[in-house]
Amino acid sequence: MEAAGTKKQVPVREGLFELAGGDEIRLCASECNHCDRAFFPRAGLCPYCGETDVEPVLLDSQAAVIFSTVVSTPPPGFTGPVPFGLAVVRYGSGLELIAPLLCTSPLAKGAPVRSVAWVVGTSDHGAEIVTYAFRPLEVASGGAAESAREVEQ
Amino acid sequence: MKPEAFVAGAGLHPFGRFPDKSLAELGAAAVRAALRDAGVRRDEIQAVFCGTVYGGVAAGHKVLSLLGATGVPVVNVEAGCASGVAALALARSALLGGQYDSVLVLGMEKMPKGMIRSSFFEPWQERSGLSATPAYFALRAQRLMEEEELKPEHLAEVVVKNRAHGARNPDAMFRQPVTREQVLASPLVCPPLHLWMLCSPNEGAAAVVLSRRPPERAAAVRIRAVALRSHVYGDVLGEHTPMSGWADSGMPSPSQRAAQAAYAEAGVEARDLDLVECQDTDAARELLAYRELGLCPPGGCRAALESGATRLGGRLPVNVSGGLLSKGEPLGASGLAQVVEVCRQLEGRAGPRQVEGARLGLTHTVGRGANAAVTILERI
Repeated sequence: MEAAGTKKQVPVREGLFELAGGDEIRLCASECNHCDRAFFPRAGLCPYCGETDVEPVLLDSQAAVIFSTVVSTPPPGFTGPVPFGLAVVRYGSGLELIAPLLCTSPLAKGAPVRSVAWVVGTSDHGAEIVTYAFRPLEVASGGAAESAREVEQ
Repeated sequence: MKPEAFVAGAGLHPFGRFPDKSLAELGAAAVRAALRDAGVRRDEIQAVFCGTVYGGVAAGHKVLSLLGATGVPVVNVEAGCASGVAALALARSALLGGQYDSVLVLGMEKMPKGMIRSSFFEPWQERSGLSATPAYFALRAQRLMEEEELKPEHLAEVVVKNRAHGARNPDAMFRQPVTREQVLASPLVCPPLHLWMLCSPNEGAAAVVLSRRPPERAAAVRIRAVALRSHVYGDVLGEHTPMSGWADSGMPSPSQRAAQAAYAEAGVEARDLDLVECQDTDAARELLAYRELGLCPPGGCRAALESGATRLGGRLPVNVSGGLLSKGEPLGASGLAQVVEVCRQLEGRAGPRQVEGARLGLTHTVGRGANAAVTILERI
Protein backbone atom coordinates (compact mmCIF):
# COMPACT_ATOMS: atom_id res chain seq x y z
CA MET A 1 0.00 0.00 0.00
CA GLU A 2 1.32 3.40 -0.94
CA ALA A 3 1.33 6.22 1.58
CA ALA A 4 -1.30 8.87 0.96
CA GLY A 5 -0.03 11.61 -1.31
CA THR A 6 2.69 9.58 -3.02
CA LYS A 7 0.40 8.18 -5.69
CA LYS A 8 0.59 9.93 -9.03
CA GLN A 9 -2.27 12.37 -9.46
CA VAL A 10 -3.84 13.89 -12.57
CA PRO A 11 -6.28 16.81 -12.50
CA VAL A 12 -9.80 16.22 -13.84
CA ARG A 13 -9.06 19.13 -16.18
CA GLU A 14 -5.94 21.25 -16.68
CA GLY A 15 -6.09 24.82 -15.50
CA LEU A 16 -8.75 24.46 -12.79
CA PHE A 17 -6.47 24.79 -9.76
CA GLU A 18 -2.88 24.95 -8.49
CA LEU A 19 -1.51 22.90 -5.59
CA ALA A 20 -0.77 25.02 -2.51
CA GLY A 21 0.91 22.56 -0.13
CA GLY A 22 -0.58 19.43 1.46
CA ASP A 23 -4.01 18.86 -0.05
CA GLU A 24 -4.73 22.59 -0.21
CA ILE A 25 -5.33 24.12 -3.62
CA ARG A 26 -6.05 27.54 -5.05
CA LEU A 27 -8.60 27.84 -7.82
CA CYS A 28 -7.63 29.44 -11.13
CA ALA A 29 -10.06 32.22 -12.01
CA SER A 30 -10.04 35.24 -14.29
CA GLU A 31 -10.79 38.90 -13.76
CA CYS A 32 -12.18 41.15 -16.46
CA ASN A 33 -10.46 44.51 -16.85
CA HIS A 34 -13.46 45.80 -18.79
CA CYS A 35 -16.26 45.12 -16.25
CA ASP A 36 -14.16 44.31 -13.16
CA ARG A 37 -15.87 40.98 -12.57
CA ALA A 38 -14.16 37.73 -11.61
CA PHE A 39 -15.28 34.33 -12.85
CA PHE A 40 -14.39 30.64 -12.61
CA PRO A 41 -13.22 28.51 -14.36
CA ARG A 42 -10.54 30.60 -16.05
CA ALA A 43 -11.31 31.60 -19.64
CA GLY A 44 -10.18 34.09 -22.23
CA LEU A 45 -13.62 35.66 -22.65
CA CYS A 46 -15.59 37.39 -19.92
CA PRO A 47 -19.01 35.71 -19.51
CA TYR A 48 -20.51 38.98 -18.20
CA CYS A 49 -19.52 41.34 -21.00
CA GLY A 50 -17.91 39.21 -23.71
CA GLU A 51 -14.67 41.22 -23.69
CA THR A 52 -11.25 39.59 -24.06
CA ASP A 53 -9.30 41.91 -21.76
CA VAL A 54 -9.17 39.41 -18.92
CA GLU A 55 -6.29 38.37 -16.70
CA PRO A 56 -5.62 35.25 -14.67
CA VAL A 57 -6.00 35.39 -10.89
CA LEU A 58 -5.70 32.82 -8.12
CA LEU A 59 -8.59 32.72 -5.63
CA ASP A 60 -8.04 32.64 -1.86
CA SER A 61 -8.13 29.16 -0.40
CA GLN A 62 -10.69 30.31 2.22
CA ALA A 63 -14.36 30.97 1.60
CA ALA A 64 -17.67 30.69 3.48
CA VAL A 65 -20.58 28.35 2.86
CA ILE A 66 -23.84 30.08 1.92
CA PHE A 67 -26.06 27.10 1.07
CA SER A 68 -25.19 23.41 1.06
CA THR A 69 -26.91 20.13 0.36
CA VAL A 70 -25.87 16.49 0.15
CA VAL A 71 -25.77 14.09 -2.79
CA SER A 72 -26.16 10.44 -1.77
CA THR A 73 -26.63 8.77 -5.17
CA PRO A 74 -23.74 9.04 -7.65
CA PRO A 75 -24.81 11.56 -10.30
CA PRO A 76 -24.35 10.71 -14.01
CA GLY A 77 -20.69 10.25 -14.97
CA PHE A 78 -19.42 10.49 -11.38
CA THR A 79 -17.23 7.67 -10.04
CA GLY A 80 -16.09 9.28 -6.78
CA PRO A 81 -17.28 8.58 -3.25
CA VAL A 82 -20.79 9.34 -1.98
CA PRO A 83 -22.24 10.97 -0.03
CA PHE A 84 -20.70 14.33 -0.76
CA GLY A 85 -21.98 17.88 -0.56
CA LEU A 86 -22.72 20.53 -3.15
CA ALA A 87 -22.54 24.12 -1.98
CA VAL A 88 -22.69 27.77 -2.83
CA VAL A 89 -19.54 29.26 -1.30
CA ARG A 90 -18.72 32.95 -1.14
CA TYR A 91 -15.36 34.71 -1.14
CA GLY A 92 -14.73 38.02 0.62
CA SER A 93 -14.87 39.74 -2.77
CA GLY A 94 -18.50 38.66 -3.25
CA LEU A 95 -17.62 36.07 -5.90
CA GLU A 96 -19.69 32.93 -5.41
CA LEU A 97 -18.97 29.40 -6.62
CA ILE A 98 -20.94 26.20 -6.95
CA ALA A 99 -18.57 23.54 -5.72
CA PRO A 100 -18.37 20.09 -4.17
CA LEU A 101 -18.20 20.20 -0.37
CA LEU A 102 -16.69 17.41 1.70
CA CYS A 103 -19.51 16.84 4.16
CA THR A 104 -22.22 14.31 4.89
CA SER A 105 -24.88 16.78 6.07
CA PRO A 106 -25.53 20.43 5.22
CA LEU A 107 -23.26 22.98 6.94
CA ALA A 108 -24.45 26.09 8.75
CA LYS A 109 -24.55 29.29 6.77
CA GLY A 110 -21.25 31.14 7.10
CA ALA A 111 -19.21 28.04 7.96
CA PRO A 112 -15.60 28.63 6.89
CA VAL A 113 -14.19 26.24 4.30
CA ARG A 114 -10.95 25.91 2.35
CA SER A 115 -10.31 24.63 -1.14
CA VAL A 116 -8.71 21.19 -1.33
CA ALA A 117 -7.86 18.51 -3.87
CA TRP A 118 -10.45 15.71 -3.94
CA VAL A 119 -9.80 12.26 -5.39
CA VAL A 120 -12.76 11.22 -7.57
CA GLY A 121 -11.47 8.23 -9.50
CA THR A 122 -8.57 6.37 -11.10
CA SER A 123 -7.25 6.96 -14.60
CA ASP A 124 -6.57 4.17 -17.12
CA HIS A 125 -2.90 4.43 -16.09
CA GLY A 126 -3.61 3.98 -12.37
CA ALA A 127 -3.20 7.62 -11.38
CA GLU A 128 -5.63 9.30 -9.01
CA ILE A 129 -8.02 11.68 -10.77
CA VAL A 130 -8.27 14.85 -8.71
CA THR A 131 -10.78 17.67 -8.77
CA TYR A 132 -11.49 20.63 -6.51
CA ALA A 133 -13.73 20.69 -3.47
CA PHE A 134 -14.16 22.63 -0.25
CA ARG A 135 -13.59 21.21 3.22
CA PRO A 136 -14.87 22.58 6.53
CA LEU A 137 -12.02 24.34 8.40
CA GLU A 138 -12.74 22.66 11.74
CA VAL A 139 -12.12 19.19 10.38
CA ALA A 140 -8.43 18.35 9.93
CA SER A 141 -9.06 15.48 7.48
CA GLY A 142 -12.49 15.13 5.95
CA GLY A 143 -14.46 11.91 5.90
CA ALA A 144 -15.27 12.06 2.21
CA ALA A 145 -11.60 12.39 1.23
CA GLU A 146 -10.72 9.45 3.46
CA SER A 147 -13.38 7.27 1.90
CA ALA A 148 -12.04 8.29 -1.52
CA ARG A 149 -8.77 6.63 -0.58
CA GLU A 150 -10.62 3.60 0.72
CA VAL A 151 -12.21 3.24 -2.67
CA GLU A 152 -8.77 3.36 -4.24
CA GLN A 153 -7.35 0.55 -2.09
CA MET B 1 -56.62 43.36 -39.58
CA LYS B 2 -53.90 42.19 -37.22
CA PRO B 3 -53.06 38.53 -37.87
CA GLU B 4 -53.80 36.13 -35.04
CA ALA B 5 -53.02 32.54 -34.13
CA PHE B 6 -55.70 30.23 -32.76
CA VAL B 7 -55.49 26.76 -31.28
CA ALA B 8 -57.59 24.68 -33.65
CA GLY B 9 -57.07 21.46 -31.72
CA ALA B 10 -54.97 19.86 -29.00
CA GLY B 11 -54.00 16.33 -28.00
CA LEU B 12 -51.83 14.35 -25.63
CA HIS B 13 -50.26 10.99 -25.16
CA PRO B 14 -50.59 10.42 -21.39
CA PHE B 15 -47.44 10.95 -19.32
CA GLY B 16 -45.90 7.87 -17.71
CA ARG B 17 -43.57 5.03 -18.65
CA PHE B 18 -44.23 3.01 -21.77
CA PRO B 19 -41.42 0.50 -22.37
CA ASP B 20 -43.24 -1.04 -25.32
CA LYS B 21 -43.65 2.20 -27.27
CA SER B 22 -41.08 4.13 -29.28
CA LEU B 23 -40.72 7.89 -29.01
CA ALA B 24 -42.21 8.26 -32.49
CA GLU B 25 -45.24 6.21 -31.44
CA LEU B 26 -45.83 8.49 -28.44
CA GLY B 27 -45.58 11.52 -30.71
CA ALA B 28 -47.85 10.02 -33.34
CA ALA B 29 -50.57 9.35 -30.75
CA ALA B 30 -50.52 12.99 -29.65
CA VAL B 31 -50.56 14.24 -33.26
CA ARG B 32 -53.51 12.03 -34.19
CA ALA B 33 -55.40 13.27 -31.13
CA ALA B 34 -54.70 16.91 -32.01
CA LEU B 35 -55.69 16.49 -35.67
CA ARG B 36 -58.89 14.73 -34.65
CA ASP B 37 -59.67 17.45 -32.12
CA ALA B 38 -59.06 20.15 -34.75
CA GLY B 39 -61.00 18.36 -37.45
CA VAL B 40 -58.00 18.90 -39.72
CA ARG B 41 -56.68 16.33 -42.19
CA ARG B 42 -52.95 15.60 -42.16
CA ASP B 43 -52.62 16.90 -45.72
CA GLU B 44 -53.95 20.30 -44.59
CA ILE B 45 -50.91 20.81 -42.31
CA GLN B 46 -48.37 23.05 -44.04
CA ALA B 47 -45.44 22.78 -41.62
CA VAL B 48 -44.43 20.89 -38.48
CA PHE B 49 -42.45 22.19 -35.50
CA CYS B 50 -41.27 19.54 -33.04
CA GLY B 51 -39.69 20.14 -29.62
CA THR B 52 -37.57 17.42 -28.04
CA VAL B 53 -34.34 17.29 -26.04
CA TYR B 54 -33.33 13.64 -26.13
CA GLY B 55 -35.18 12.68 -29.32
CA GLY B 56 -32.07 12.50 -31.49
CA VAL B 57 -31.76 12.91 -35.24
CA ALA B 58 -34.91 13.89 -37.17
CA ALA B 59 -37.25 13.06 -34.30
CA GLY B 60 -40.24 14.93 -35.74
CA HIS B 61 -39.68 13.41 -39.18
CA LYS B 62 -39.89 9.93 -37.66
CA VAL B 63 -43.29 10.77 -36.17
CA LEU B 64 -44.59 11.86 -39.55
CA SER B 65 -43.24 8.69 -41.14
CA LEU B 66 -45.71 6.77 -38.97
CA LEU B 67 -48.63 8.99 -39.95
CA GLY B 68 -48.32 9.22 -43.71
CA ALA B 69 -45.79 11.95 -44.37
CA THR B 70 -46.82 14.68 -46.81
CA GLY B 71 -43.46 16.30 -47.62
CA VAL B 72 -44.00 19.55 -45.69
CA PRO B 73 -41.19 21.36 -43.80
CA VAL B 74 -40.33 19.77 -40.44
CA VAL B 75 -38.21 21.66 -37.90
CA ASN B 76 -36.88 19.99 -34.75
CA VAL B 77 -36.26 22.36 -31.85
CA GLU B 78 -34.24 21.95 -28.65
CA ALA B 79 -34.58 24.49 -25.84
CA GLY B 80 -34.32 22.40 -22.68
CA CYS B 81 -37.53 22.27 -20.65
CA ALA B 82 -38.96 24.97 -22.93
CA SER B 83 -38.51 22.95 -26.14
CA GLY B 84 -42.20 22.35 -26.81
CA VAL B 85 -43.05 26.00 -26.29
CA ALA B 86 -40.05 27.08 -28.38
CA ALA B 87 -41.57 25.01 -31.19
CA LEU B 88 -44.90 26.75 -30.54
CA ALA B 89 -43.21 30.16 -30.71
CA LEU B 90 -41.66 29.40 -34.11
CA ALA B 91 -44.92 27.98 -35.44
CA ARG B 92 -46.89 30.99 -34.29
CA SER B 93 -44.37 33.42 -35.79
CA ALA B 94 -44.64 31.61 -39.11
CA LEU B 95 -48.45 31.90 -38.99
CA LEU B 96 -48.44 35.55 -37.99
CA GLY B 97 -45.89 36.30 -40.70
CA GLY B 98 -48.34 34.95 -43.25
CA GLN B 99 -46.16 32.00 -44.25
CA TYR B 100 -48.75 29.35 -43.39
CA ASP B 101 -52.43 29.03 -42.51
CA SER B 102 -52.28 25.77 -40.58
CA VAL B 103 -49.32 24.24 -38.74
CA LEU B 104 -48.69 21.40 -36.32
CA VAL B 105 -46.69 21.77 -33.10
CA LEU B 106 -45.42 18.69 -31.31
CA GLY B 107 -43.48 18.16 -28.09
CA MET B 108 -42.33 14.72 -27.02
CA GLU B 109 -39.82 12.87 -24.88
CA LYS B 110 -38.84 9.42 -23.69
CA MET B 111 -36.47 9.53 -20.71
CA PRO B 112 -34.91 6.99 -18.40
CA LYS B 113 -35.74 6.93 -14.69
CA GLY B 114 -33.67 8.81 -12.14
CA MET B 115 -31.17 11.63 -12.45
CA ILE B 116 -31.02 12.94 -15.99
CA ARG B 117 -27.73 12.64 -17.86
CA SER B 118 -27.26 15.72 -19.98
CA SER B 119 -24.67 16.70 -22.56
CA PHE B 120 -25.01 20.16 -21.00
CA PHE B 121 -22.30 19.15 -18.53
CA GLU B 122 -18.70 18.72 -19.65
CA PRO B 123 -17.00 15.41 -18.75
CA TRP B 124 -14.84 17.16 -16.11
CA GLN B 125 -18.00 18.52 -14.47
CA GLU B 126 -19.54 15.05 -14.37
CA ARG B 127 -16.34 13.61 -12.89
CA SER B 128 -16.38 16.38 -10.27
CA GLY B 129 -19.90 15.54 -9.06
CA LEU B 130 -21.32 18.72 -10.58
CA SER B 131 -24.02 17.00 -12.67
CA ALA B 132 -26.30 16.29 -9.69
CA THR B 133 -29.36 18.17 -10.93
CA PRO B 134 -31.52 17.69 -7.79
CA ALA B 135 -28.72 19.27 -5.73
CA TYR B 136 -29.04 22.50 -7.72
CA PHE B 137 -32.81 22.39 -7.13
CA ALA B 138 -32.08 21.90 -3.41
CA LEU B 139 -29.73 24.89 -3.22
CA ARG B 140 -32.30 27.11 -4.98
CA ALA B 141 -34.96 25.79 -2.62
CA GLN B 142 -32.82 26.73 0.39
CA ARG B 143 -32.39 30.26 -0.90
CA LEU B 144 -36.13 30.62 -1.51
CA MET B 145 -36.93 29.19 1.93
CA GLU B 146 -34.68 31.79 3.49
CA GLU B 147 -36.08 34.66 1.44
CA GLU B 148 -39.72 33.65 1.84
CA GLU B 149 -39.59 32.20 5.37
CA LEU B 150 -40.69 28.77 4.21
CA LYS B 151 -40.43 25.48 6.09
CA PRO B 152 -40.26 21.96 4.62
CA GLU B 153 -43.98 21.66 5.52
CA HIS B 154 -44.74 24.39 2.98
CA LEU B 155 -42.89 22.51 0.26
CA ALA B 156 -44.85 19.39 1.21
CA GLU B 157 -48.08 21.38 0.96
CA VAL B 158 -47.34 22.19 -2.70
CA VAL B 159 -47.02 18.46 -3.37
CA VAL B 160 -50.28 17.73 -1.52
CA LYS B 161 -52.05 20.38 -3.61
CA ASN B 162 -50.70 19.24 -6.96
CA ARG B 163 -51.20 15.56 -6.27
CA ALA B 164 -54.81 16.27 -5.29
CA HIS B 165 -55.20 17.95 -8.68
CA GLY B 166 -53.40 15.09 -10.42
CA ALA B 167 -55.89 12.62 -8.96
CA ARG B 168 -58.43 14.29 -11.27
CA ASN B 169 -56.26 14.00 -14.39
CA PRO B 170 -56.34 10.66 -16.25
CA ASP B 171 -53.25 11.72 -18.26
CA ALA B 172 -51.05 12.09 -15.14
CA MET B 173 -48.56 9.41 -14.03
CA PHE B 174 -49.29 9.75 -10.29
CA ARG B 175 -53.02 9.82 -9.56
CA GLN B 176 -53.09 9.09 -5.82
CA PRO B 177 -53.56 11.99 -3.40
CA VAL B 178 -50.85 12.23 -0.72
CA THR B 179 -50.62 13.75 2.75
CA ARG B 180 -48.06 16.20 4.08
CA GLU B 181 -46.78 13.51 6.45
CA GLN B 182 -46.28 11.05 3.60
CA VAL B 183 -44.34 13.62 1.57
CA LEU B 184 -42.05 14.43 4.50
CA ALA B 185 -41.58 10.70 5.18
CA SER B 186 -40.45 10.00 1.60
CA PRO B 187 -36.66 9.57 1.23
CA LEU B 188 -34.54 12.70 1.58
CA VAL B 189 -32.83 13.08 -1.82
CA CYS B 190 -30.92 16.35 -1.39
CA PRO B 191 -31.82 18.33 1.75
CA PRO B 192 -34.33 19.95 1.99
CA LEU B 193 -35.92 18.10 -0.95
CA HIS B 194 -37.60 14.75 -0.37
CA LEU B 195 -38.26 12.32 -3.22
CA TRP B 196 -41.93 13.25 -3.59
CA MET B 197 -41.04 16.95 -3.80
CA LEU B 198 -39.21 16.23 -7.08
CA CYS B 199 -40.85 15.53 -10.42
CA SER B 200 -39.99 12.28 -12.20
CA PRO B 201 -38.40 12.30 -15.64
CA ASN B 202 -40.69 10.15 -17.78
CA GLU B 203 -42.34 9.80 -21.20
CA GLY B 204 -45.14 11.50 -23.05
CA ALA B 205 -46.15 13.75 -25.91
CA ALA B 206 -48.35 16.76 -26.61
CA ALA B 207 -49.49 18.35 -29.86
CA VAL B 208 -51.52 21.34 -31.00
CA VAL B 209 -52.75 22.47 -34.40
CA LEU B 210 -52.50 26.22 -34.92
CA SER B 211 -54.59 28.12 -37.43
CA ARG B 212 -54.87 31.70 -38.64
CA ARG B 213 -58.65 31.31 -38.61
CA PRO B 214 -60.69 30.91 -35.43
CA PRO B 215 -61.96 27.33 -35.12
CA GLU B 216 -65.68 26.74 -35.51
CA ARG B 217 -66.54 25.70 -32.00
CA ALA B 218 -68.36 27.28 -29.10
CA ALA B 219 -65.24 28.12 -27.11
CA ALA B 220 -62.09 28.75 -29.13
CA VAL B 221 -58.64 29.65 -27.85
CA ARG B 222 -56.56 32.52 -29.12
CA ILE B 223 -52.83 32.78 -28.36
CA ARG B 224 -52.35 36.22 -26.85
CA ALA B 225 -48.61 35.93 -26.21
CA VAL B 226 -45.64 33.60 -26.43
CA ALA B 227 -42.35 34.76 -24.94
CA LEU B 228 -39.03 32.94 -24.83
CA ARG B 229 -36.15 34.30 -22.84
CA SER B 230 -32.71 33.15 -21.71
CA HIS B 231 -30.31 34.26 -18.98
CA VAL B 232 -27.90 37.03 -18.22
CA TYR B 233 -24.71 35.86 -16.52
CA GLY B 234 -24.66 36.73 -12.84
CA ASP B 235 -26.78 34.64 -10.48
CA VAL B 236 -24.71 31.70 -9.27
CA LEU B 237 -27.93 29.68 -8.80
CA GLY B 238 -29.40 30.67 -12.16
CA GLU B 239 -30.83 27.99 -14.43
CA HIS B 240 -27.90 28.51 -16.80
CA THR B 241 -26.05 26.44 -14.16
CA PRO B 242 -22.81 28.42 -14.02
CA MET B 243 -19.84 27.48 -11.84
CA SER B 244 -19.51 31.04 -10.55
CA GLY B 245 -21.51 34.22 -10.09
CA TRP B 246 -22.06 37.08 -7.69
CA ALA B 247 -24.06 37.59 -4.56
CA ASP B 248 -27.09 39.81 -5.16
CA SER B 249 -26.57 40.09 -8.89
CA GLY B 250 -29.93 41.88 -9.06
CA MET B 251 -30.60 40.57 -12.57
CA PRO B 252 -34.15 39.55 -13.55
CA SER B 253 -34.36 35.78 -13.98
CA PRO B 254 -35.21 34.20 -17.35
CA SER B 255 -38.72 33.49 -16.01
CA GLN B 256 -39.20 37.12 -14.96
CA ARG B 257 -38.02 38.29 -18.37
CA ALA B 258 -40.35 35.92 -20.20
CA ALA B 259 -43.33 36.83 -17.98
CA GLN B 260 -42.79 40.56 -18.40
CA ALA B 261 -42.56 40.16 -22.18
CA ALA B 262 -45.70 38.00 -22.31
CA TYR B 263 -47.78 40.36 -20.14
CA ALA B 264 -46.64 43.29 -22.30
CA GLU B 265 -47.50 41.52 -25.55
CA ALA B 266 -50.92 40.39 -24.30
CA GLY B 267 -51.67 43.71 -22.63
CA VAL B 268 -52.78 41.96 -19.45
CA GLU B 269 -51.58 41.72 -15.85
CA ALA B 270 -51.17 38.79 -13.49
CA ARG B 271 -54.39 39.77 -11.68
CA ASP B 272 -56.36 39.21 -14.92
CA LEU B 273 -55.45 35.49 -15.01
CA ASP B 274 -57.90 32.69 -14.19
CA LEU B 275 -55.39 29.84 -14.04
CA VAL B 276 -51.68 29.14 -14.29
CA GLU B 277 -49.66 26.05 -15.22
CA CYS B 278 -46.11 26.62 -13.95
CA GLN B 279 -42.80 24.80 -13.67
CA ASP B 280 -42.97 22.60 -10.57
CA THR B 281 -39.89 20.46 -11.26
CA ASP B 282 -39.62 20.60 -7.51
CA ALA B 283 -42.04 21.91 -4.93
CA ALA B 284 -40.00 25.04 -4.19
CA ARG B 285 -39.81 25.84 -7.90
CA GLU B 286 -43.58 26.35 -8.00
CA LEU B 287 -43.42 28.83 -5.12
CA LEU B 288 -40.57 30.70 -6.80
CA ALA B 289 -42.69 30.90 -9.95
CA TYR B 290 -45.47 32.65 -8.00
CA ARG B 291 -43.03 35.49 -7.38
CA GLU B 292 -41.38 35.49 -10.81
CA LEU B 293 -44.72 35.51 -12.62
CA GLY B 294 -46.03 38.31 -10.42
CA LEU B 295 -48.77 36.14 -8.88
CA CYS B 296 -47.60 37.43 -5.49
CA PRO B 297 -45.23 40.17 -4.33
CA PRO B 298 -41.71 39.31 -3.10
CA GLY B 299 -42.14 37.84 0.37
CA GLY B 300 -45.67 36.68 -0.48
CA CYS B 301 -45.10 33.08 -1.65
CA ARG B 302 -46.06 31.57 1.69
CA ALA B 303 -49.23 33.65 2.03
CA ALA B 304 -50.25 32.78 -1.54
CA LEU B 305 -49.91 29.08 -0.75
CA GLU B 306 -51.52 29.18 2.71
CA SER B 307 -54.48 31.24 1.51
CA GLY B 308 -55.58 28.36 -0.71
CA ALA B 309 -55.76 30.75 -3.67
CA THR B 310 -53.69 28.41 -5.84
CA ARG B 311 -55.85 25.32 -5.18
CA LEU B 312 -58.64 24.22 -7.49
CA GLY B 313 -61.57 26.34 -6.33
CA GLY B 314 -59.26 29.15 -5.19
CA ARG B 315 -58.93 32.59 -6.73
CA LEU B 316 -56.05 31.63 -9.06
CA PRO B 317 -55.58 27.85 -9.32
CA VAL B 318 -52.00 26.81 -10.17
CA ASN B 319 -51.22 23.47 -11.81
CA VAL B 320 -54.75 22.07 -11.88
CA SER B 321 -53.38 19.43 -14.27
CA GLY B 322 -51.47 18.07 -11.27
CA GLY B 323 -48.29 19.76 -12.46
CA LEU B 324 -45.06 17.96 -13.19
CA LEU B 325 -45.21 16.59 -9.64
CA SER B 326 -48.19 14.46 -10.72
CA LYS B 327 -47.59 14.12 -14.44
CA GLY B 328 -43.82 13.64 -14.45
CA GLU B 329 -41.58 15.59 -16.78
CA PRO B 330 -40.92 14.45 -20.33
CA LEU B 331 -38.81 17.52 -21.17
CA GLY B 332 -39.87 18.24 -24.74
CA ALA B 333 -43.53 17.52 -24.02
CA SER B 334 -44.09 19.16 -20.66
CA GLY B 335 -44.37 22.81 -21.74
CA LEU B 336 -46.68 22.04 -24.63
CA ALA B 337 -48.79 19.80 -22.39
CA GLN B 338 -49.33 22.84 -20.15
CA VAL B 339 -50.70 24.62 -23.23
CA VAL B 340 -52.97 21.65 -23.95
CA GLU B 341 -54.24 21.75 -20.35
CA VAL B 342 -54.98 25.48 -20.48
CA CYS B 343 -56.80 25.03 -23.80
CA ARG B 344 -58.99 22.31 -22.30
CA GLN B 345 -59.71 24.56 -19.33
CA LEU B 346 -60.57 27.58 -21.47
CA GLU B 347 -62.79 25.44 -23.68
CA GLY B 348 -64.59 24.12 -20.61
CA ARG B 349 -63.54 20.54 -21.32
CA ALA B 350 -61.42 19.77 -18.24
CA GLY B 351 -63.97 17.53 -16.52
CA PRO B 352 -63.53 17.09 -12.74
CA ARG B 353 -60.67 19.60 -12.58
CA GLN B 354 -62.44 22.35 -14.51
CA VAL B 355 -61.72 25.91 -13.36
CA GLU B 356 -65.19 27.42 -13.63
CA GLY B 357 -65.50 30.27 -16.10
CA ALA B 358 -61.80 30.35 -17.02
CA ARG B 359 -61.12 32.91 -19.76
CA LEU B 360 -57.40 33.71 -19.46
CA GLY B 361 -54.60 31.28 -18.66
CA LEU B 362 -50.80 31.36 -18.47
CA THR B 363 -48.20 28.64 -18.91
CA HIS B 364 -44.61 28.81 -17.68
CA THR B 365 -41.59 26.58 -18.17
CA VAL B 366 -37.95 27.15 -17.34
CA GLY B 367 -34.89 24.97 -17.38
CA ARG B 368 -31.36 24.37 -18.33
CA GLY B 369 -29.77 26.71 -20.79
CA ALA B 370 -31.29 28.82 -19.32
CA ASN B 371 -34.54 28.63 -21.26
CA ALA B 372 -37.77 30.17 -20.02
CA ALA B 373 -41.08 30.30 -21.87
CA VAL B 374 -44.39 31.93 -20.97
CA THR B 375 -47.60 31.77 -22.99
CA ILE B 376 -50.88 33.57 -22.41
CA LEU B 377 -54.02 32.01 -23.87
CA GLU B 378 -57.52 33.44 -24.03
CA ARG B 379 -60.98 32.06 -24.69
CA ILE B 380 -62.85 33.98 -27.38
